[in-house]
Amino acid sequence: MSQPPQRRRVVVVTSLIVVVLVTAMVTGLSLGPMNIPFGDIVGNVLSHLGLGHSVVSPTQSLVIWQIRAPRIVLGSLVGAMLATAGATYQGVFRNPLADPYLLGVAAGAGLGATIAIVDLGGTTGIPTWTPWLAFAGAMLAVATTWTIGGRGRFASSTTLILAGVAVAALCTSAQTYLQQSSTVSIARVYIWLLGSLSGASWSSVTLLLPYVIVCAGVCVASARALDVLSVGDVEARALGLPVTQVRFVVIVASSFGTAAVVSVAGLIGFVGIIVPHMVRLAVGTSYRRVLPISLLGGAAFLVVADTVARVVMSPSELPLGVVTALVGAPVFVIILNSRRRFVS
Amino acid sequence: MNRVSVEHLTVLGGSQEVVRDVTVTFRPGRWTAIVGPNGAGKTSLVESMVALRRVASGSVSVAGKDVHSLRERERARLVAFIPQNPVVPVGMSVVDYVGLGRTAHHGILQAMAMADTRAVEEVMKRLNLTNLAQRDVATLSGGECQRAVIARALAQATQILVLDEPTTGLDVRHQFEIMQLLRREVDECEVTVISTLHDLSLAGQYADEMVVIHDARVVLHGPTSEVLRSPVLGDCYDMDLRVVEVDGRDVVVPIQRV
Repeated sequence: MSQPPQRRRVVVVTSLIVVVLVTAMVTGLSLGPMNIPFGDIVGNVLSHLGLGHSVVSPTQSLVIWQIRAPRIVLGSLVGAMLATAGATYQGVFRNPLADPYLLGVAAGAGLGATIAIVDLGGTTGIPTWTPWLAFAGAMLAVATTWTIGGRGRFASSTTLILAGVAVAALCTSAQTYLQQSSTVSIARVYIWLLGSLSGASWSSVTLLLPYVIVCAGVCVASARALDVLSVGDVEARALGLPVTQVRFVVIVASSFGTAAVVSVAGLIGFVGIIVPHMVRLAVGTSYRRVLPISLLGGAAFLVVADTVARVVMSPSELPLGVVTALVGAPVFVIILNSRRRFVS
Repeated sequence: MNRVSVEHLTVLGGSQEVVRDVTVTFRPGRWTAIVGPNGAGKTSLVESMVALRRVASGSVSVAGKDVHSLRERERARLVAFIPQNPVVPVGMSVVDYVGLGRTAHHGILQAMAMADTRAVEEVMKRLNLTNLAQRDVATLSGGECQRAVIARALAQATQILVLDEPTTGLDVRHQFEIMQLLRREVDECEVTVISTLHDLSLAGQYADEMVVIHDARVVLHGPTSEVLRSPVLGDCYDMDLRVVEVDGRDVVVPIQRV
């Protein structure tokens, strides 16, 4: 059956996000220590598509395509993945506060990635198989959180989040110990940890891209299953959903995606909770709408946040995690106040 | 297609046997009410009939197949289940909620096909829900909500419907409305209905057969009018039960024993 008012809203919200995303991308290409006029950027992009001639100098072109563009693309991937993973965790745990950070997944991934960088890494950059160690850490963390706080008679949103906080604290302390014990890599780990896209290059984009395509793809494809799960495990099972298998696949996908993001961009909090929450306010709670729109919205949000992080203290940079937390913390408080709307 | 039989079923709740060696065959195309005092094991029995509980021994077969060895999807096409307190999701429209009943038909990854949409529309029309289609299920009244829950189960298009206390929390009129609606499914579509019920008068007026559970065992099984008149039934509750006929229907009046 058609839903005309809802559908119109979805179209409006989606187009709005696309406009914000494109504008933020072009603005991001234009702003920086070397300011390149907006119009020149558009002309340059169009010329790459075979339309018209570009007026930018070779140096400007290098800045645009080798420094700023990969960073913007990486930012979109990171934001899309974090927002999708957040929405997915919220569905699979039936908990509006679930998020890669609050569940300890990101901290676990951080621990795994630190092990990779400190103990096994070379002297520069991030080893290509870092995502796998980060993934191992993430899975261990989410499994521990779920075992402690997500099941049994006393399980509730609160116990799950408290367990996540405890697991995150444990992972962070182990991670800090490792980081401090190696003087060679301490600076590298520290900068990475704050969450930043400053190390972006086309190679980090190609490292992350396959993980994001597969993991976010699985999450978005599970939207209908997550809608069924909203009536709880017992009824979902009675409706014919293989709950255990679905939960496993979806948690693995969102944790792996988060781990991959953490290993290239460090810890960037709150995206997984703010974006899906905003999207729900705009288009309702069905995951068939929330997931794909969060994916787009996450990309837009992170590109905007990263541009802000680059520009406010220019030429030096604010860590991206600081910007997302600045916006995220107040939104989180709002969600806490209105959570009765989501938890029945 | 719609036969349900339980054989030597034992279910554990902790270390206790909450269902003890129960053997019972439910008549296809009829309505069987499972009655008995609180804690007798009614819920455990119906939940294990749809494989939501692990059984210690014995088996439940639906349409000749062991329900515990079926995949979720296959089982959901044979038997629909409604728990006593269904979870009402916030922010989901009634039409989407009823549509959840089609999960086992269209598969997890696929969108609803035309046949699914049509099935949902048809059920909503039959249950008089069409004008509530776009409402948020969480905002429905108790009676409307229970109709939506039953519509979801009917959208599963199974020949067997298992319900745990379908009239919980409803006022008298809505209790009868739900009962009448289920009766119509039995009479017109030959659906096998198995429901636990607390209200013996309701069971007496609508169900064809009764199974009485006491202390995790089946103590009585037979046509409703006979079971209601058996002294064994009163013993289960430690009450005297008088059956009064009003306009040809059995009404049970419980009187405390002295």
